[in-house]
Amino acid sequence: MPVVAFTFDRLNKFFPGEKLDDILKIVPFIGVDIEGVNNAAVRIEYNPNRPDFASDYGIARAVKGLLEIETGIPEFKLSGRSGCAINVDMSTSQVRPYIVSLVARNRKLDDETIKQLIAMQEDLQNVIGRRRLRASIGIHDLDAIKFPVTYTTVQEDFSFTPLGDSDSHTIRHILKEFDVGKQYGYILQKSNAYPIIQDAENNVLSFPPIVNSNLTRIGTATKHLFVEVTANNLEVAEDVLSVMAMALYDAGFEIQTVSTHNSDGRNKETPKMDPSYIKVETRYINRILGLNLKVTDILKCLKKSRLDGKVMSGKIIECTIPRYRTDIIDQTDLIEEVAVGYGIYNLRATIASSDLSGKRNYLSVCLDIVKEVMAGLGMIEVVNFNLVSRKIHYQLMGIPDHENILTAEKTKSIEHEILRESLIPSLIQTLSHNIHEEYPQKLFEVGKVFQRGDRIKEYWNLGVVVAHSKANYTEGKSLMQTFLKTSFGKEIVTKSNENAILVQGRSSDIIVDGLTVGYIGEIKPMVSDNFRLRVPVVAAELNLSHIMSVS
Amino acid sequence: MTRALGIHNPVLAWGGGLERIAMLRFGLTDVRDLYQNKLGWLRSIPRCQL
Repeated sequence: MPVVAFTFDRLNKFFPGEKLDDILKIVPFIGVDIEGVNNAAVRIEYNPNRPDFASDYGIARAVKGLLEIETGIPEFKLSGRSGCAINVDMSTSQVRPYIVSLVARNRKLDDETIKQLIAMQEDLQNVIGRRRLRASIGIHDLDAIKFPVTYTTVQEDFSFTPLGDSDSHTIRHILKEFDVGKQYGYILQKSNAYPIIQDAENNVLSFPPIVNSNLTRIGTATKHLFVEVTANNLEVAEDVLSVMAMALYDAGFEIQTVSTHNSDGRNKETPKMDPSYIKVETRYINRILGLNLKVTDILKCLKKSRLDGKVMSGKIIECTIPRYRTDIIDQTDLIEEVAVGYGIYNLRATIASSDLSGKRNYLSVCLDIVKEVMAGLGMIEVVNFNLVSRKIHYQLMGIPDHENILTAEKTKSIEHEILRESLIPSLIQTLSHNIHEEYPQKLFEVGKVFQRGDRIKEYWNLGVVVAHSKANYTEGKSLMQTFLKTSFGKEIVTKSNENAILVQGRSSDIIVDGLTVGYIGEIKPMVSDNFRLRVPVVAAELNLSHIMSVS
Repeated sequence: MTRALGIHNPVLAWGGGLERIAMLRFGLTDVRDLYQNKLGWLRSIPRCQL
């Protein structure tokens, strides 16, 4: 989860007169986690659904609401048009179609504010920007730019001086040799036109989403900013810009709009910061929260969550949602905001009014009985994975692969490539990991096996292996007979069979109520050798799903 | 989300992994101990009293 650092200096500046401990106590209740505190700052972990928490301004805004220092919609106003314009060339629609921007004026930047803005830019790009693929941000020194700016595309032999470098390089070189080029170049792969932002004198501002130019670098001498967001999704671009606008306003900047002239002749002033409105019924709020709030209480809770509400007729509240709250989509989100404003710490746990009690699923109860009986018979339970290797389940078992094996596509490990059809191979593998432990070793596993038919079938099986110098078929049969009698009250019939992993003449099918439900047999010495076992092994496997269905 | 699937009653869901709790309970530092089926360990662990 992304993290924002809030220095103690800034906490004291934003919350004069509040004790640090009181602030830290309330911080988690805006819906974040305190990851750690060191001697300079608090590190706050927030969820990606709240991009406005990517800067300490956003955290402060929410905390002020809960502490009732500032409530209701946070103050924001646009200071008119900047007079700056961007002309968008049609060629960008093939590669990265959207650009929105703003101008922020009249605020001297200090180191910590720059740090917060850069950290916010990084988090927004990585999280809602999906590692710059969907959206990326450029923060520029306004005074270094001659307007109007053009957003267009160039070929790969175009060159400019990227941020932090002293020489000019071609696009081709940057994508091939620079770290940012190698990391984000794939975003531009499908075209041979590369997006570029240039000013009226053909100076480059940025090569989105890769890197800015050195020309517009910001520092503590910068007083005015030009912030642009390029994207392959317009809504995301506008969301990102609104979050940046709110943070910059809180930082003390005056926000002005920029005219975007699209190639189809349409013009747009950005950012658009109009709030949205969603209606919610007070009855619904109380039902979900289990409270009995009056309309005035609900309004107060909304205000503490930095929203606002207006009472319409018939106990309906129309809530005002500021533009930067991209996380509020419908009524249930508003109910959550009411709960946050009410104070999650104020919600009391009560015993549910229903007198129905839950109980364990019947299958779980059955499988538990199976395990208890096996333990009673002196067996040790082991657990192995459902995804196994071909080597252990086919090659070492001496049976051929077949084309119906359920195989994971693009597995990251051949140890976990196929879904198992039997429990026995993994159990034999477990024996081979324990050759230095005392014998007799008597293991069982209750687990799932998988078969491909016209549909994929899943069964619960019981697998048993007994390993010691005198292990033989009779012991195996005695075990299975007792097990089925004790767990399911069933008598078994055995019939000699042929099984590729079992010694000929020392193996049989297990039949219950006329249905073949498993097998018992001595494992072929060749198989034991493959697994480097030095004692005989008798194995049995039972399809519990089939037995439970006839019980 | 649940509405789109035709469920109109409120749905509560939560979950947690058991491995960390088991590691705390048995004083383990390596989660692989729970999956390696080492008989020496399995034979020595007492039954968990809940």
